[in-house]
Amino acid sequence: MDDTLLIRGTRVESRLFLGTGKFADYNLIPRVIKASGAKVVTVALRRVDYATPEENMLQYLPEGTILMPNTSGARTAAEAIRIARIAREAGCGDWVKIEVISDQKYLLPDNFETIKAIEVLAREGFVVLPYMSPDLMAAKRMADAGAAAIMPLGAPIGTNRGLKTRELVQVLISEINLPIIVDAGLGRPSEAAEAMELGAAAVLVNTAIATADDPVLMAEAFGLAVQAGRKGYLAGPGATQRFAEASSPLTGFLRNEAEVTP
Amino acid sequence: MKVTVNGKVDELPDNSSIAELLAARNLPPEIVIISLNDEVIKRDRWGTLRLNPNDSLDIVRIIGGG
Repeated sequence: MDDTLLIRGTRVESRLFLGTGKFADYNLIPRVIKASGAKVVTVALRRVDYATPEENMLQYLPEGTILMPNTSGARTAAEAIRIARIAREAGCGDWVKIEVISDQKYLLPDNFETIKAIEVLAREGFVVLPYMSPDLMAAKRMADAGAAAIMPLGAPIGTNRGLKTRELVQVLISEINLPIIVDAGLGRPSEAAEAMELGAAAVLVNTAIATADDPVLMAEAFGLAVQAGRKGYLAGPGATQRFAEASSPLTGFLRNEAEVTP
Repeated sequence: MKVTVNGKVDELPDNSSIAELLAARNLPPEIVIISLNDEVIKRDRWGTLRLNPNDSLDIVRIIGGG
């Protein structure tokens, strides 16, 4: 069975999307990408600081990587639209992760401004993947506005706290006819597997890998967890029940059936 | 002449090009993206396009991000 993820007709060969922030050294990035198997990689745009011009991080990305520039730093739809256009003109391709944030404590996304940005950018031919707070009605509006996928947060950005929004993400998976990609907050491979078992189409991980003691090994662990979770979802887990049910027959060896029955 | 660069007022010789601005500020052209008055300017025009007083430029680069 072909289980390749499709985003607006593009085949994406890995269900682990990788963020490239917070790495101690850009030289780690190609190794992390390889170990994780990730094909979609996020980058950010920033105004240059005269004092510390740095190298071009794109040179660290392997050929065949799908770039997903984000609009981090945008506080309004207009700012997000502007950043997206600059990224496309700069040769980053058509994909964009919309991220509109004005809350500085929890970095929770502004769904309302995000919807406005999607409307404009989808019309301009962008493949728009919005980072959002998991709310069903907002997700429906985003789908109607032309989003290519919906990316609800698992927990606030950079917190490594796991799938705290599980119940709400489950609603999106069940009700929205677009890939649901859990973005932000996943801290451990088991949490990525949990999201995938739930039926998420993919997960986006950055901090958990970048801040691990061994980012390359953690990238590999996340890659495996995403595959395991996906297979678990496809396999269809058995029902849960309250009381034990023996896996091996209890009768016929030391006792006969009449003695076991209470 | 005065122009705005990355949100701050900057003083440049009249008729400066984008290439001259980058050279004067020691910015390697290969790592930056230029947006002039909200329009991205392609690299091949950086040497010829002359800036005007009160132009607003953004000099942007791509960095790691999540």
